Amino acid sequence: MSSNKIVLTSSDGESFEVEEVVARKLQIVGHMLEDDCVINEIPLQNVTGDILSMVIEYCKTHVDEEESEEAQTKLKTWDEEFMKKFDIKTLLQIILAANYLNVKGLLDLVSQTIADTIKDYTPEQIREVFGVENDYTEEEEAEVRKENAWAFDEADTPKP
Amino acid sequence: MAILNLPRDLIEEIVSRVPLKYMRAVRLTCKTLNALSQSSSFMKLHIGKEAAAIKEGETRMIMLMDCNLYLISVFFKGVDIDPYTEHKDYFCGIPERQILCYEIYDFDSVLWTTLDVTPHWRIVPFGNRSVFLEGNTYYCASERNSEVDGHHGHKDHIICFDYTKERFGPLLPLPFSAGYDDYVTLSCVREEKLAALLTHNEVNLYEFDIWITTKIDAEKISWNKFLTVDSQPDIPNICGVSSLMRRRKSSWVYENLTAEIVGHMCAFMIQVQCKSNLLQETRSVPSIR
Repeated sequence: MSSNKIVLTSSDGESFEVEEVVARKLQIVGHMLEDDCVINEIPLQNVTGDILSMVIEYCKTHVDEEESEEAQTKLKTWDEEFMKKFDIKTLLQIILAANYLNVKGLLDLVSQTIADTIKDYTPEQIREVFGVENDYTEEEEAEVRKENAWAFDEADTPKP
Repeated sequence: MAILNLPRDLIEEIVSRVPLKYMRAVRLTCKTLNALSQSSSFMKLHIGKEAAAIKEGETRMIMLMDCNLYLISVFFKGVDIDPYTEHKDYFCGIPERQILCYEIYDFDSVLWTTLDVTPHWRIVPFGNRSVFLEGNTYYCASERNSEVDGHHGHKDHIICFDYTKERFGPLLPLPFSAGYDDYVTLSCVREEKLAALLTHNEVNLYEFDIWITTKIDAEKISWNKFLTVDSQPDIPNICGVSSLMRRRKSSWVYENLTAEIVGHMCAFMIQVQCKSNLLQETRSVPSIR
């Protein structure tokens, strides 16, 4: 067995053999390796194989983050394309995994992607996408609407 | 898998990245997200992210309108104003006369603190802005026992507040006693003197006086009448100075009075923007000295 390969096993028993530098991008793994350097197989209880494979794909791409502007732009484009592959439900699972596995870059990327999605949604669309129930009464909803009225979005907005 | 199944810190991490401008939709989805978006841990995260995103040419201001406090963002590029964002409600729905305490908001801790004062005076609301001079902020005030029918009484005092010590100073007299319908506006001159503008709405709508301090310290104040102007009919009713914004039924009235002192000449400019009409009047007035 090569010393720089690590096997990561998901909760549903799927195994991924990755290079140690990639595995270390998962900080949870990094900490385990620091504690005991002879580990070469790591079970990851809180993440399923399909999600883990996506996290690994992210880590492989981000394994050596060059500082040149060109490399950064390239990575950014890759990130955008990578995020486009997933629906909201998958993104929520990825963010949970990124949190558990402690991959800061991925956590930021997914949070931003979800926030950007919410930005353009109506409350109804947000409820639908996130499986949230509307628990307001009509009066309460009107009250929240009033509290959150924009300072300038009414008909009397000046048109300079 | 729903967003509410995520741990709270992850929900906050996601929602805090939604710009304040778009938070209304989030708050309207359900009670949980509404409560979360108003919690202090969330506010802290959100303000931090917003602060990091301040753009060039952008100024953040706090504005009180319709009993709500707004954090707005203004871009001064020509006449383009792109204001946004509600920040926190304040005084909401409370009848004016029942406001008996003063609170200050700290942007670092994102918390409101109630000041430990039981004042025998009150800061006069409506059209009276505060003015910052030599470390203190001055407000127009009236004595509580002069209140009539739940309305504030005569505006005949000012009070200063020291933000570093978080303490009010003593009540200092104005050189006049302004009635309920009169407007009093404070301003400062050369960053060393306080000026008070009184509009005699009750006597003559078009006449106003400007008084300037000759001496001001923590305990004592003295005033000198600088000028009286009868503006009729050139200048519309002035109900405020220094970028006061007042909301009217179907229009925004923006009134601005600034004093520019060049040598011994003093000029002040009045701009009134009402709907699309922009009136502008500039006139010279005598020197201060």
